[in-house]
Amino acid sequence: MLKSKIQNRYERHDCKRVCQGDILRDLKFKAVKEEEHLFDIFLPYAIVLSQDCDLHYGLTIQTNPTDQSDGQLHNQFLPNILFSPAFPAELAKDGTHLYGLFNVVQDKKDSQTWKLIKQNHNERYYFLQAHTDYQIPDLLIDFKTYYTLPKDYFLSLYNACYLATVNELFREHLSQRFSNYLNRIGLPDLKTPSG
Amino acid sequence: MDKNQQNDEYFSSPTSDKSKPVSGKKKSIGTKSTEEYLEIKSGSYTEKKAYAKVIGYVEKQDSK
Repeated sequence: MLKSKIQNRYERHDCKRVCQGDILRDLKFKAVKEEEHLFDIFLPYAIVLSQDCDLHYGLTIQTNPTDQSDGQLHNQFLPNILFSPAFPAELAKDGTHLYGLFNVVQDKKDSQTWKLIKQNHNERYYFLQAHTDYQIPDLLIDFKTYYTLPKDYFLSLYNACYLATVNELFREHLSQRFSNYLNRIGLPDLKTPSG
Repeated sequence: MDKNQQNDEYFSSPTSDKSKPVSGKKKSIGTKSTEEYLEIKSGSYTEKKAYAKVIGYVEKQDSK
């Protein structure tokens, strides 16, 4: 078996562009919800979930537009960036991680459930281990909770918030689990066989 | 120290230096792994939790 060259769960890059798996700290942005209310949303930690190839090609301005009158040519244009809050694990374990954002609480996770979550065996959550050097606490991503922001707005916030990045393989693992969760199929609960 | 206070200590100040590892006085903040990994510098962590706060209103479009 070829030995992986990935030595760490996290790394820190030069921030020349947003990367999938980037962990942001103290991300604060404005959003509209409940029709006319303008909100400040604050996330102590967040993680970029947009595909890395989309970020690579979508954020690069194409330099040779053909006909400006019909708009700039940009076949891979990416208008929005997808990210998810990463909640401190203790709050998620207590079921209070959504309280400040949505005024809802959830059941506390029992020890068996929490064990599976920490092993990343619960499809709804992704557990990120703490890393002292990068000031990352134990974090939990709840795949039901995510946001998008317009690219330019997100980029204006990004550099001040960048903390570290989930390393390759681990970020692909995260990405795959997120997409699998969104793709899950809810089957009807058929009590009795019919037809 | 109540649970909320413990949880608050996960969050560091926006002015804290992200290039330096967290260090200092170790406090109990829940799970064993967290205790092992996180050494929280006393006083440098402020009370921060995710929130959504109304800060204004968007003008409604006239439906007529």
